[in-house]
Amino acid sequence: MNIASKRWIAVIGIILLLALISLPLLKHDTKEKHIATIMLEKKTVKTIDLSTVTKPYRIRIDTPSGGYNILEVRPNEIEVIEADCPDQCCVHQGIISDGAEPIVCLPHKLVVKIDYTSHDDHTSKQTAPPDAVTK
Amino acid sequence: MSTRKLTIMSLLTAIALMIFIVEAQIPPLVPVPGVKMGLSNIVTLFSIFWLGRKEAFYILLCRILLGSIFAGHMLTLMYSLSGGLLSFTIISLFYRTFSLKALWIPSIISGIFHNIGQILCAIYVTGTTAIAAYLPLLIISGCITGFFTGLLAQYITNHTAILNHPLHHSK
Repeated sequence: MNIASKRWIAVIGIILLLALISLPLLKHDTKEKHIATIMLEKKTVKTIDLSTVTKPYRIRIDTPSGGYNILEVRPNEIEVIEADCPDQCCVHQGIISDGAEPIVCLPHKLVVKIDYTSHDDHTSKQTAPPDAVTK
Repeated sequence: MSTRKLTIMSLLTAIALMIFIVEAQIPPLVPVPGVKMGLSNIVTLFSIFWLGRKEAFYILLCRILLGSIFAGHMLTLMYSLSGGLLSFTIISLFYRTFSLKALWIPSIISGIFHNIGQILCAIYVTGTTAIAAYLPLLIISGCITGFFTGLLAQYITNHTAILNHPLHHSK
């Protein structure tokens, strides 16, 4: 094995090590997070304060391309329970409560993430198209 | 471009396309967006080191374009293109430093950069940087799948080395 190959193995090792170290850090956050932000095609369509949710309910997000995602909102948790995207990745990602990993539905350009604060709470109501969210 | 070369390139494109379409039918193994086996990388890798960079680039581009027509939608094209082009650029830049006897090294590198390219594209499409949280997971999966596709490409090159290479100019 030549020197160049050994260098590459070292580079791969470092990248892999960094990835492995950062993995548990992203799973759970130490800070309190409870604002769920639902984004569709770069725009925030809805923000929900999950700590105020007492009874589970469902919301339906219709995408401009004609698809849909149905989300279930529970106390401190949120989950995509049904979607008509081809890969069903968003459904399989399950419940998110804290942690940095958002639910992503790439075919529908939908992202559900949990934030510390609802800094864009009031702006979301203006930018949201009136028929995009139906309860 | 000789007819022989053109035939070999089209054959490799057809093989890559076939692998790509069959792989698209397999449901996702892990519930993380972007994780896939990347089996068509075998053909790309093989063609870079067996035919050359220019030829491999054409094969890659044809496979991505045709693959998105047959097995996906417009978004598939964007993700495949961003991932494929980024990883191809990196491999081409450091082409000389890779050994033909250890193809799993460029394969892992291309697996990592393919996923980085896809994440960048996903950040652009959805407009959220929160997706970057998947980067560590995708890097690990890129290493694993890259290692195995690299081994497969290695076995193929080992066996085709016996054949009289029609085009190989360097070394």
